[in-house]
Amino acid sequence: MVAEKHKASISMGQGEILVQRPQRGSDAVMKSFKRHKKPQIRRRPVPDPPKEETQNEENTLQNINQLGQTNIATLQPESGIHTISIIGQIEGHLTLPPQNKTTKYEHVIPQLVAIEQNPNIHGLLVILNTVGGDVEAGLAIAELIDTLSKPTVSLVLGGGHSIGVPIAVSADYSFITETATMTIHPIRLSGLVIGVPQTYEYLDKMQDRVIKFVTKHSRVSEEKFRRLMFCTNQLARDIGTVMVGKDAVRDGLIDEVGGLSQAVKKLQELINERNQNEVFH
Amino acid sequence: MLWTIVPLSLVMEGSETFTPQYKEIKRNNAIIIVEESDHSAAKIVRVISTNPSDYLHPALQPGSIIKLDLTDYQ
Repeated sequence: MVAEKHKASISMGQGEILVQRPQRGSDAVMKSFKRHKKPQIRRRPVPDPPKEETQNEENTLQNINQLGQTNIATLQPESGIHTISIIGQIEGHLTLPPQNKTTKYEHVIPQLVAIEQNPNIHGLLVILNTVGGDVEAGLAIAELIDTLSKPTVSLVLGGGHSIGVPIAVSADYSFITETATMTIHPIRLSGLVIGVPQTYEYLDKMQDRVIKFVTKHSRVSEEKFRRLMFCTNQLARDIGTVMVGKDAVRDGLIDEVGGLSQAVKKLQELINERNQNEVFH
Repeated sequence: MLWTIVPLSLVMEGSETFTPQYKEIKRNNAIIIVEESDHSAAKIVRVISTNPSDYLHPALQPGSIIKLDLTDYQ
């Protein structure tokens, strides 16, 4: 009912805008042109409605229709910080069914290349809320974030499970929110990992790649990480460990517990540090 | 994993028959995923960009209608 009411008033509003528009080439104007051979130039023509305002109004109407809200914020000047959000499944070699929300390899990789090359971009904030996904695609993204020459900070929100772990640790500095969780479990063909038929040996090798990457890029030791991965008394139907916020920091996987403001502040610090070093060299 | 008072059967209702036709186009260096409504217009479903200001751009708000041009079909 309420939505219908809104719609009615909105369409009335649009009608009014249309009526107010000056009608060029209308009958009255054309008649005056015909009557005088030398038509008098109108000194004060009826001004067109400001185009931007009509555009804004249309946008606002569309936003109310679609999002149930008005325009969110005005554009800010470029900050030099770009962000990549890694949400849902990480999609690599297999296209997932449409009800899965995915972060696609072919979207993220070109963006990372562009960030590396664009001189106006000074830092990257990676925001993770992922349930895992394709191991090779995840490792590829992690390796690219790691080898990016510009400062990077990652923030784990909600969940950073399975292959989300190497991506989280690949940044120069990592944050996790207090309520966010990270699940570490072995790579298998079932569970949270998307599987394609592989032999056990191959899975084991793949697992070693992940473990090596994580231990190289965080304070956690290989022995400890393996122990977390094969822990039997944490998950109901699986082996592995769920780590909530502080646990991930205590075990050395993530650098600090924090939120958005801390992450952006840290990234700004890293950018300033880098700029200073460039001046001295 | 869903934690909701709405029964799972209601939440997932229609997910098997839901087959939208999405299309990727480029605007302001951002990838925009749109659902084509006809051959000249499409509804924005998702914005993919590293530039945070693209998400605040009034013309790129998800749900709004965007005009397609010939280059979008290349």
